[in-house]
Amino acid sequence: MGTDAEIFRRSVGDPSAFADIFDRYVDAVLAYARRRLGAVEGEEIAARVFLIAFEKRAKFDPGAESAKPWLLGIASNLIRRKVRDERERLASLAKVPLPIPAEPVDDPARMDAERLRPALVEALTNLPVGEREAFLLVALGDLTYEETARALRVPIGTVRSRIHRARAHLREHIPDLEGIPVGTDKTDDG
Amino acid sequence: MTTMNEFELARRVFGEPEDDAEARDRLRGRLLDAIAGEPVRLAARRRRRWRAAATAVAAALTIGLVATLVLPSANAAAAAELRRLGRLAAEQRSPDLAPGEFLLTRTDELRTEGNSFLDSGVSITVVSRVRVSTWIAGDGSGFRRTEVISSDFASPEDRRAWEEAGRPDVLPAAGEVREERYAVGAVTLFDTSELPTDPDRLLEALRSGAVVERASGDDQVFLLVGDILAFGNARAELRTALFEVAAKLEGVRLVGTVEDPLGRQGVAIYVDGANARTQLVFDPRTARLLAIADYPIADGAPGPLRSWIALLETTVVNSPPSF
Repeated sequence: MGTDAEIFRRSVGDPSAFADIFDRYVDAVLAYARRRLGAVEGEEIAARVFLIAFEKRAKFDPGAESAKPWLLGIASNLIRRKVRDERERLASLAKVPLPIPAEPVDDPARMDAERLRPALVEALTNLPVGEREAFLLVALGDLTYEETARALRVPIGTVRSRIHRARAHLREHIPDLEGIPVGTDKTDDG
Repeated sequence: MTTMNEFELARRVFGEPEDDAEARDRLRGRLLDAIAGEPVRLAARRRRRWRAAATAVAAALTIGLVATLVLPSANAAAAAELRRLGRLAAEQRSPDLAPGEFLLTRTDELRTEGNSFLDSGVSITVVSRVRVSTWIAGDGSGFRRTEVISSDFASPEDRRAWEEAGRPDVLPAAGEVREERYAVGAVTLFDTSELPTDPDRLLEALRSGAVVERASGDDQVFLLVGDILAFGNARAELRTALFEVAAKLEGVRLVGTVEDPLGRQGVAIYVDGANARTQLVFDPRTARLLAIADYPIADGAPGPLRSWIALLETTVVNSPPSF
């Protein structure tokens, strides 16, 4: 099937080849968008991501290893314009309890998440947009810092400092949160 | 105090996304619609560019280049989707019939039949909704039961012609049942065991009339592909080869996502013949054929849906019907 760049190149002359990009990344894009905006709005965003990517496929960076940062970057841009939907999603996350697992499990992390949920949501709501986007692309999109930089089209140093500030802000507002010290997370590949 | 960091906490709070095959299908459908529309837009865009360049090129040469270079292959999207479906079809289990077992296929069909009376010259067209059950044994013999669900005249003109002709017996009665038996080899289409799985040889076999005598033309080959897939007794390699054969047809085109006559969502692909369009609708997740639809073509444009076959069920049973 080839690399993402090869598929993009092929899809310029043969539009149907773009379906392979869809097959590779639909789960990642749909999951990210739905986590950010909920099932219905998230699906709409995911649909628009692929339609936009298809329209702009000739502009895909031929040197890029993976299309995922580019696709999640498009998603991030679209979500940023959905301020009200995102606010509603965050508000519902603050109010609605986490889903109860089908089987009862002794999971202290789940109980912690349940307890810290309102504080996290409030802290995220108060983050500057750039910091929130960078943080959530890493946390929910499973992107590395380098990929996040490509998704947001900013230097990697900017991503590092945005995430550093975001984490510091979250820690300040979620007092019980302790774990890996800021700046030594394995996600920071730079 | 918790041992989670901020990232883990966010992942927990925002939740693990569930696998959602239906959402994937909807998204795929929207993308396929865009891909299907692309050749037209692409051609239009390129034509605009060519128009600007044409001032510097001799008109005759330009026309030749536009014809040969500008227009992209319109069947590329359909071919790609058929090949994807073919890969899915290869993953489906092949029916393996033990002696005494039958492959039972149930379909709902809309049939449009013309009745012409040579003496008066009157022609009456009737539309019937029927349910068909077909039992196929491993040796290719079988049974078929056809039950009329409802019937009516195709138009008020047909009803009037029927009344003027003295109300001849042309309208099948609801509940009417016809039962048929097929001996081994009586219906060639049932026996797919000898069909080659090399796509080129299979295409040749379908075109030659070796499988079933039909008028020539890619639309007839496409219809035959649909018929063989509909009976459900094709082995996995043959199913994949059938999709590849369809992908090779010059006139194959992608419609995108549609609802089949029973309201099920599927991906539709068609081939136009001289007088009719044959459209096959597939389940995008399993490559299972959902429906075969037929549209008349008049003045180069397809008319309203004329007849269809919707596949309800294919299953292995261990006894023949009682008739």
